[in-house]
Amino acid sequence: MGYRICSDVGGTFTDVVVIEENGTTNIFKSLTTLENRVNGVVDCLRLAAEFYQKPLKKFMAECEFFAHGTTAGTNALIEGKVAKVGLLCTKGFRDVLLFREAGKDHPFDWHVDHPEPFVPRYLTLPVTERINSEGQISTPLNEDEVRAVIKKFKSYNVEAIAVSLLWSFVNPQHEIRIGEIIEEEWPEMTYTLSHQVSPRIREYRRTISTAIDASLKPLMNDYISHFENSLKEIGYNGELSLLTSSGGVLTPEAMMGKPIYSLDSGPALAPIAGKFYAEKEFNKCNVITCDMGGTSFDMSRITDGILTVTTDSIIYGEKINIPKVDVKTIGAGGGSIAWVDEGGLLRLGPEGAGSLPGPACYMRGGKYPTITDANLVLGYLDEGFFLGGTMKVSKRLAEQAIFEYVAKPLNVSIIEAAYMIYNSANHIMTEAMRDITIWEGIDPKEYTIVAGGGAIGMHVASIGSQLGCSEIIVPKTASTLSAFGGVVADVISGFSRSHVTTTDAFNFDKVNLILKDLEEEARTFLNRVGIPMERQVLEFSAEARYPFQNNELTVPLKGNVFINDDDITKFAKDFHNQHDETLGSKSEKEAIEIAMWKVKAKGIMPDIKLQEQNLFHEEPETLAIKPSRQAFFKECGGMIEVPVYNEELLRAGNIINGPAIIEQPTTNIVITPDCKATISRYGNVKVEIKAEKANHEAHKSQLLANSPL
Amino acid sequence: MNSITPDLMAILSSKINGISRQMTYVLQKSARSSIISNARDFSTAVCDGKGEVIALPNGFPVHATNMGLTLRGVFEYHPPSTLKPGDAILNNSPYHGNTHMGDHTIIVPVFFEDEIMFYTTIRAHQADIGNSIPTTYHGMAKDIYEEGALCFPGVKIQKNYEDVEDIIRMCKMRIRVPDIWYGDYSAAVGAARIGEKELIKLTEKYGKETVKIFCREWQKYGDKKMEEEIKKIPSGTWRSESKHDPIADILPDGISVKSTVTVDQEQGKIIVDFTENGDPIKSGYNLCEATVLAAGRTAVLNCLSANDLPLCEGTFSRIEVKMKERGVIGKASFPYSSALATTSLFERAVFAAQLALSQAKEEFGMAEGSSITVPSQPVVSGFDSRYNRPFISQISSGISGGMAVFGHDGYTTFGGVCTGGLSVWNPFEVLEQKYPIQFEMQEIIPDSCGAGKWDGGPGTRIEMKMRDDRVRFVINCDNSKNPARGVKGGKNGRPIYAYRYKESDKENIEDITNTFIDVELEPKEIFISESAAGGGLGDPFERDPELIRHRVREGWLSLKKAKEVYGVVIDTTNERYIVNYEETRELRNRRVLK
Repeated sequence: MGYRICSDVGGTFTDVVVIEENGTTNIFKSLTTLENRVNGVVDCLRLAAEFYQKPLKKFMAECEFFAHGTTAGTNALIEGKVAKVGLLCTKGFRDVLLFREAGKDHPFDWHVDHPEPFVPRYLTLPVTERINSEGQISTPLNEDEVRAVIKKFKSYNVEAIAVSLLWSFVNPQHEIRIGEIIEEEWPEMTYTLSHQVSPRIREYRRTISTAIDASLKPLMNDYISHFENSLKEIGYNGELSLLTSSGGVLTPEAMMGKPIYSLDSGPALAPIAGKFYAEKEFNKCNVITCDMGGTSFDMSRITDGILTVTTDSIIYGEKINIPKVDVKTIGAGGGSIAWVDEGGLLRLGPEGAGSLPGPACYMRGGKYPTITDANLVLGYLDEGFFLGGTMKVSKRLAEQAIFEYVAKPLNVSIIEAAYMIYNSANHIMTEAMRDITIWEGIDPKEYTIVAGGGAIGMHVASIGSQLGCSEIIVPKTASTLSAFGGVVADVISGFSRSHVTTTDAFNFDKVNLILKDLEEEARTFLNRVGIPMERQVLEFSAEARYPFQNNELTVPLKGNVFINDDDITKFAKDFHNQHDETLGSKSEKEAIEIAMWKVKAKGIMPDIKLQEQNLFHEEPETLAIKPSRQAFFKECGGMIEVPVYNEELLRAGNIINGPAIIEQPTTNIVITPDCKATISRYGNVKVEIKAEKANHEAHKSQLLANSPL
Repeated sequence: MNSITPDLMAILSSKINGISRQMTYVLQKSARSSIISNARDFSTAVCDGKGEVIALPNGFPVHATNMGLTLRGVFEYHPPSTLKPGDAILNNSPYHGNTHMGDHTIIVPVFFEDEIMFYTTIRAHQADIGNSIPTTYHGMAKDIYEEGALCFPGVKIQKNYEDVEDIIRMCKMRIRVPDIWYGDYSAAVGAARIGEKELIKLTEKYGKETVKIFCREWQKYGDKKMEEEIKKIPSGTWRSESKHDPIADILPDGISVKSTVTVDQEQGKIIVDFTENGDPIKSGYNLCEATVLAAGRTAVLNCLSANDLPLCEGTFSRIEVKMKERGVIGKASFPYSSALATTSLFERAVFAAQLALSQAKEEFGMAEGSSITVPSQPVVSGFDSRYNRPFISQISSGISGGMAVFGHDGYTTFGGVCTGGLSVWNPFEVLEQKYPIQFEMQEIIPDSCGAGKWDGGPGTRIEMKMRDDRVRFVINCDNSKNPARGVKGGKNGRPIYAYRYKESDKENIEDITNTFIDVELEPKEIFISESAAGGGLGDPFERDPELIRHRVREGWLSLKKAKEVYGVVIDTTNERYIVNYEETRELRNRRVLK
């Protein structure tokens, strides 16, 4: 067994994580090369090879698994650099992409422009055909019209064709025929058929997913083949594993067939890393991961070791319906600006300072106070050791900005204002975390938080304590959480079939046939990517609803065959219970409609052993202790002198009780008075929160402190 | 102790808003009828212990800005002192603070240590309410008896967290497709109970006193923010009106809704006065207290383009709405019916007040938009032979003609001022699975927009073919004789049309356009709806030629209309689609000289 490597190309940095056979993990970072992202990856691999003191070719030849996640597709979408798409649709439905499903954000705000369709109307051309809701052909396909449309697309120089017909996911006959005609008429053209990329009900979501997929095809196909070739050139002999938006892996060939699955594949991996660490450190399988950078805060959750995947997500303002890891993002980061509105309320964002001009303390002309400025004023960040001493910042400018825009309008001191900013930020993030837990009927107390990103360490203990969590992990690879997820991820791919049946008139034959087909499809996939039988796991599930309901719940199936009424009764019971738990009601007398049958094919990765250190004594060595400094802890009465530790010199087994600050080169971890931090055997920082009570007390004292009595 | 820190204010408001949004989410996920789960025709709110709205997530303006009134309407029969944990009250009576019979409002008191801290309220439009004909909008009903709905003037429907079975049985007996109704009812109560649970936890965590102070301070905050907004508007009084189509024999000339709006900059107050309007009429068109209040508030908030105001009673209370004790645009007057109080004249009342206030400032400029009552919004009912089951529901699609506003064209997927654009259109594939109807078309109607410097939104053509069953369509309409009006030189939008024809007899198309349509369509018969387009704002000759080029390219606009109405010449030779500026200038100048 050799190296396992994952590269994650982000907007600013390209990360590479290498795990050696003995479990030693090393991370490498280089700047992303926007003009050709592959170069950045090769640069980063070169750094790694140098580190291991091997020629690049030898290093890569020893690599047994190479995974890759990228934001290339997402960025191309945002920047409008995708291919020009021609959309072929059912006659009468040219405006599916214009109307979407209607709806808007604010009921009283009419001073907005309705968004233009993803594919312009003049490039959306209809053909006569129709399949009905039962899959029967009610109007045959007019092939002459198809040929005429393709001719028209040629004259418009479209670069990819999307085909999305009504009910194609029930009967794909017409779409398949159109595909054949495109190949006859325009052999070199790339195209996407809706039933292949997104075989699900709801015409708008399927059509937009198809159009986005087609728009990415030319670009992503170039990217992927270029990537494969570059890896070959530098000596990698294995199969490239491409990460998907649902936290799975596809072969390059499969990804070229449906590149929409590459969207946001980077952030999708953070929860996998989170799951890995939670299992290693606490032997827990319920995890919330959060990743806080300069502009955004990403969250996701894992329940019973299972990643939450949704088919209901928004990309680029459009509702797509391909499976995606449920990553929730809010616009709160270190650079979010604090301000006071006309009613006298403290607000954060949505405006951010970005990296230019950046927070006021960056001395680049930023006037407005940000969360980072508050952290600096409160002493959580060190003016003289910002980013490990690599960057100069000004505490005076931070104070000035906070005074001008927060303290003065609220008539409080600078320190109080800074704390209000800090506290509000924590609460905004806590609320967002509640959305993905409590809303879904999940108690965050049963979850371990795994934290990533450069700004998270100062906030995570407070967030955890408010959520009622008791355990937090800030891993050694916190700044490259996603790339780490890529090396420990299982190979996963999903397959599904649409077929409507009900529990009171259950179609045993058809359902069993579908489930058998799904098993075959799943096994074929796993065999092709080289997963041996003993590491193949298949998970079956069904999407079900009460009659006339609009949304389905995904209910796991015990196996892939329904033998008798007993099996159906058991399934129905699971559905009723799940409906009651998540939606607060159930109706046990009613029959249930089942609309979709699914299987998740998993190739379990061999267990990865992280390198372990021997445990030292609890007391940190003096070498690791830095000069103490003033920092703000409300619970302790305000600004107090707190101990500061150098994380790089702490050793496994060391225990640090709050209040304290642990400094890392890329982030600082604030240990609040109700917390205890331990350096684990694997070199991660484990934070345990003693009791929820502390938080409650804090609020009381806060109320009293501000009471005029 | 009488104040809390600004950060705790922000925290509690976001928590309570979060709980209200959670109720929305739960209801939308678990409801049965298309009208709730798909078109999202419902709103949720959290009210404070006094019964005043403290948090409204994005809800329909007609539902949400008056929720406190609906809640306090039940106090006459169930004073707060008599309420107990586990109670739930159903109010659908427009005579007691509700909007119209079609909206069932569930009210749940939230107790903490024997004291009511909050109320959670859920208002949802039902698929059926037991009317004398299969619709929740019986416009032709001359009174409450002909309307026929079961009326619940603040009726206890749960005690001790258990249904009052007698009431449920009455509903199941009278309401068509009772399982759907009960499913929707359970979903609404489930959502209200989830809100209750979360609010109790919140009170437990922060303490009763803090929560009470917060509620008071939050109302003050809304009041302050609204005052600041109003102080940016010059003082003055303006009047306008908006005319609805004829209502059968009752009002053969239609009816004009009048409104006078006064801004008092010094006091930071706006008064919207509807008292000029006449007596109640013998139809379902009368408004009621809740919807007149909502009309005045909605008009003002639309002009302010309010996307950053806290939606609470404190904010709303700076808008005073004056109405008659008995009147068509006044309080509901028993036994007259208010079956259509959330659409039709409600929308006309909003437009009248909006047009009045829009004269205060150029930036407030607004035309009229389409009504939500278009032929593609039918209540459909019948028996589906595919599944051997009856069905009834309102379908939601094609409400597209947004009003042009200063700086922007009318919103394409408008949804009407009563929904604030929040209503969602049903995906056809979902509808076709649920009901025996096949859709043949849904596309915008070219050349339909009311032209202006800013255009109204387009109308939409929808064709529906009946499968193998007969289907009854019951529809109310506006905008046939009185299309959405353009203002300040802007043109009117295209009116509505409705047609039917048999597949076997395509030449014989029957025009069935009317204010009230009640038809039973045969198998394979086709129903066509052409919805209204929005009115334009400002002179079309001042419209940016590049926008016109774009609309021509996209097939929204013909070359002819571009030239004749906007004075813009587009060169399309070899599909170039560029503006011929020379000819355009000449054309536009020539009119100026005239």
